[in-house]
Amino acid sequence: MDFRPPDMNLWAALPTAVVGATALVTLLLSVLRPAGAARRSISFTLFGLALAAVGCLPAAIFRPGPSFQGMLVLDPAAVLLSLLLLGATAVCVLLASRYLVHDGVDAAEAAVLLTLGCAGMLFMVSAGNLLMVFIGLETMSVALYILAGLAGARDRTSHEAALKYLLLGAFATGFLVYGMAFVYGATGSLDLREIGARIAGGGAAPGFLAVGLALLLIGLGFKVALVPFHMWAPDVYEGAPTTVAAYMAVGVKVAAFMALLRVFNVAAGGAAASWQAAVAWLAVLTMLVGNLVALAQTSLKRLLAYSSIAHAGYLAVGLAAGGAAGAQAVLFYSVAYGFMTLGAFVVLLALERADDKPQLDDLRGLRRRHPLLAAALATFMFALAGIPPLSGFLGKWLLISAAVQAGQVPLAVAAVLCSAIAAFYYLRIVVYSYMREPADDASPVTLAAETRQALAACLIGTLLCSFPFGLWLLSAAGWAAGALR
Amino acid sequence: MAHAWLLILLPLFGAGYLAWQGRHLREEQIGTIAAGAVGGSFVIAVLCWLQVYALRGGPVDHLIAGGPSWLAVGKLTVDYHLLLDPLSTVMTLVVTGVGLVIHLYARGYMHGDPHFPRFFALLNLFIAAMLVLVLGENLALLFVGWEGVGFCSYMLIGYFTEKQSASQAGKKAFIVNRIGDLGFLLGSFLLYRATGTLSLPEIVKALPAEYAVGNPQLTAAALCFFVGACGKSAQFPLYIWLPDAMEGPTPVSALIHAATMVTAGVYLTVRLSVLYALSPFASQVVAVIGVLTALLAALLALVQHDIKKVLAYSTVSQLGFMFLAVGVGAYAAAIFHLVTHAFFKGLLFLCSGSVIHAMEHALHHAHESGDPQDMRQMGGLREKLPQTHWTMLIGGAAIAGLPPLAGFFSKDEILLHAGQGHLLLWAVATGVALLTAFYNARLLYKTFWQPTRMSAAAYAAVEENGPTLILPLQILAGLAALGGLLNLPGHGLCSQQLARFLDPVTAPALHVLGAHHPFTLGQEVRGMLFSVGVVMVGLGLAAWGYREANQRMGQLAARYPRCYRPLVNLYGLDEFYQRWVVRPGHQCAEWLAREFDAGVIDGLVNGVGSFFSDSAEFTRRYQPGLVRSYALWFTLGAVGLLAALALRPAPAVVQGVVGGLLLLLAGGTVWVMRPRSEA
Repeated sequence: MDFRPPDMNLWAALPTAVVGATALVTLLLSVLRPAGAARRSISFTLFGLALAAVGCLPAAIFRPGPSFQGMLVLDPAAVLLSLLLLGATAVCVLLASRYLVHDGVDAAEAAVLLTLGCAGMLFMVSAGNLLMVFIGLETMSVALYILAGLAGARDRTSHEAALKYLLLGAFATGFLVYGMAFVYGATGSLDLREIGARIAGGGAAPGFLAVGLALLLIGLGFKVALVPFHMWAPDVYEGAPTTVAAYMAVGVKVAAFMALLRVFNVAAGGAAASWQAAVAWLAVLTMLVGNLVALAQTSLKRLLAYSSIAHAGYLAVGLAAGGAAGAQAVLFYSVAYGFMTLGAFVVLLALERADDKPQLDDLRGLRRRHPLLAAALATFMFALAGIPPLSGFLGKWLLISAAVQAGQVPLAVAAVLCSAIAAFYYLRIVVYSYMREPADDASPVTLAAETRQALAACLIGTLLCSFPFGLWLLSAAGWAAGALR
Repeated sequence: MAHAWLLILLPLFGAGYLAWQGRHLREEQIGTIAAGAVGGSFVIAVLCWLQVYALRGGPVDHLIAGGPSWLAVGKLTVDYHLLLDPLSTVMTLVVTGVGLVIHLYARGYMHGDPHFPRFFALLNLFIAAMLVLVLGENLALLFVGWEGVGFCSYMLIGYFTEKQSASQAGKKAFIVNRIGDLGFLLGSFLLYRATGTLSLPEIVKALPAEYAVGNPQLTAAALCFFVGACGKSAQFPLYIWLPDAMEGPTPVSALIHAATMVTAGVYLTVRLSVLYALSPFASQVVAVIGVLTALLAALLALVQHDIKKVLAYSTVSQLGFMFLAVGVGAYAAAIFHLVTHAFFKGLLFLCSGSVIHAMEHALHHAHESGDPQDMRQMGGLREKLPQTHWTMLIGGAAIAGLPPLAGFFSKDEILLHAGQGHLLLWAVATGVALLTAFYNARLLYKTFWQPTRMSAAAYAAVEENGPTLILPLQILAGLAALGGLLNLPGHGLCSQQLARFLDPVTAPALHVLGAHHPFTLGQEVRGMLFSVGVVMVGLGLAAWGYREANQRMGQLAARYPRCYRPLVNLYGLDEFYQRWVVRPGHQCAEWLAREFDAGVIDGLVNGVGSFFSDSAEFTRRYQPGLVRSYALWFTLGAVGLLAALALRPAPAVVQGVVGGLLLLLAGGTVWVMRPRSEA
């Protein structure tokens, strides 16, 4: 037996380590020096996140690929999504410093939890092992359980949301871990590359593998809110503080989809025949239910919740399509989705009043009340609806063409039809804000500096994902998808 | 050959620039830009003609000005290619040459018009579209030009937007032309089916090689194209739009509705001459419709009082002559007549414009209201408008066919060909020639030579127009007088120049038609003498009827109302269309709008909408907000998914049983979880 020294590529752990350290230091500082902790911890956290973003680069340049015995894989796809997640976390921290504070939450506390959640997400996107997926997922989830209930002092529904999320999350985690056990039983390994090799070599027990994959799909499908594992999402989004809802809608979904991509598309790609049809059905069901129910919503938060469910369906189309084209589509759409959804939530936050959730009617005459905000909202809605040349269009085009290339024409047709349904409620928002007269008691909208910065970041991100700049991202996503192993 | 594209681009840029910036320019600048663009095109047209002329006798008979590919779908490829061959260069010269003269004329004629820039922008756009039509290498590009000129024609007929009749006339032209366009499209489809290409040179090459004479598919295609030609070139029974098109400004009538656009149908049939040669039946149809139209329109021209209407019917009649030529296989003669007709009919229209301009001015000056186009209110203008008079005299003599003017040679050529074995056609055509002489003389008598019927004040106020209007008349008069030189009869060195130049285009068709015996000198001399005699009879009759303002014609008309009435009523063709086409169409459209649109279409759209909102409402209710019900749905989904993945290798029976059980379970859950009333 030959001895190999443990593969300690610290570069690969650098981003996560920086994020984790940031969280811990912020926590310590806020406890030790409470005076002025809020401002300081926000700035420090933002600095730490920026540092982590820079920290992604050495690994990508000097030692890409698996390290720590295959536990961490900082490949281009992981770097791409890590950057997105760090950015999204930064935006949420920025928003938390303004809005969560209003809910009576300590800013430092929120920043720490958001940052810890981010560490979990980073683990998930660069996981090379099912255990890493699990650890990342739990780190992220625990942070989120707390975050969802943060506003409980002011709003009882926040507690309700946290409890629901915790109970159902625990339920789903059971499925996930059980699935991992089955996969281990079928292949004898938890390492994703090893699993792939066993499946390719025919050394995997098909029955065990199928059950394991089904359980994994259920567990991860819960996190990304695939129908019928989605029912928590609207309640939790609505109850949780809007900042946290945005964080969940973007961060959790992106991270969990990357994990799905790694497990199904890459590791279990050889056994695609056993899961592809099921994923396609889930995708269709998710798109249909998400879009349909969104039609009936008047609460903007619930509407965005169903919208994000529907988008999980679109992403699942890319997963079902499989191959490099499917992976490219999922990567591109994750980034595009992240910016446009985050932007929509930022607009929502700007509209939020002390103790009521924004309704569709609150958008009336937004064009008069705040033209810039109305324009930004319209941009995000057009992007979400997939109207050219915006990012959502490029993404949907990629997803649908990936499905067609994979020979799954009915799936592509379903995606197109569901997008048509979706256009209705996205455009209705634009109609309300542009073509309806404002109510008499409508208050003028003022934007805080943090909101303006967050909005600008999301707008720039969305435009960078749109034609023609989006073509760079498109080729970057293609390159990253090609490098997925 | 890329410079051929400049032919089209120059007037196109002119049109674009005038549409964009025209408002800020002075009239002289606008006129200079528009005329300059067409003049530039003319210069390039001459260059292209020289290049094609240099090919004579060589192995290559046409040039292609390449461009990018337009579309490639399956086997069908369409390129932006321009075809330069003898036919297209002749047409290009006519379009740009006559177009240039008319642009120069329009600068003066439209002086003071409030929409001066729009007029010239459209005129330039028309030239561009017409050049696309004649230069298009394939049927698709040709169709672009075909529709383009139709659009410009529509816009320019309705140019005086404040006149209800003008916009009606524009619509009429557009709608009648749609019928023809459908024919064109169907013909293109049939030809594509027959040859697998839309490229004109390839079609001409492929047709005689692959198909025998009398092939029904080709006959169908030829007839379809002829329907298209009937629409564009105003042949029976679709000619009704052209007289109404005289609502447009006179330069438009001269350029579009006499010299160029209306000859597009003739161009098309000559371009596809091999198709007609392969289909004797279609050729017969063309010839019969042509000569019938010539006759009907000439008869109508006899009784018109509006000076432009006379010329409009005359145009229809002359176009009929051209189609007669195509029908009897005299393709070069058709083009020859097309060219000379462009000269003399352009001239006649511009002369009539000059008369109208002077009349308008005089009536205005004398504070009288009256129709400046009505010949019944003219007379005696010879002394007042000497320049207009002598140029119009040349034009009238040319169209009547007096030697040695242009019309004499071109009409004689057609009559000679018709006389070969088509005796009836020949006889009718000769009769039309007589009528032509008659109504042109009538026009001249009523306008210039009879004693004036105007008031003394108005008559005294008539003044000859300035040089911007007169110079174009003189240029065209020169062309109308000398145009016959292009294609002199006989067998000498200078004879048949145009026919010989066009030989590469007409040769495939003539080859299919078989041996053609050149006319003997005797035949030609006899034909000329006879047609001069016929013309003289026509002129004599006109002199008998209209000299010195006698009422002989009025008495004749009164004595034979059954002959006169249908002519005044235009054979009742418009009423016929109104009754059998327009009104049923209106009724059908109204029914569709009322019943079908409101019931079926709106119902469908609203139904889809309410279906989705209902199902959204239904699905929404399955979200009661209870964790236990969420967990139940979760579990149900999990069981379904597990079963789906785990049972994939199982036998079908097991799958069926488990699937059925699961469905039952799902149904039961839906029932148990059904939303209850809020109470």
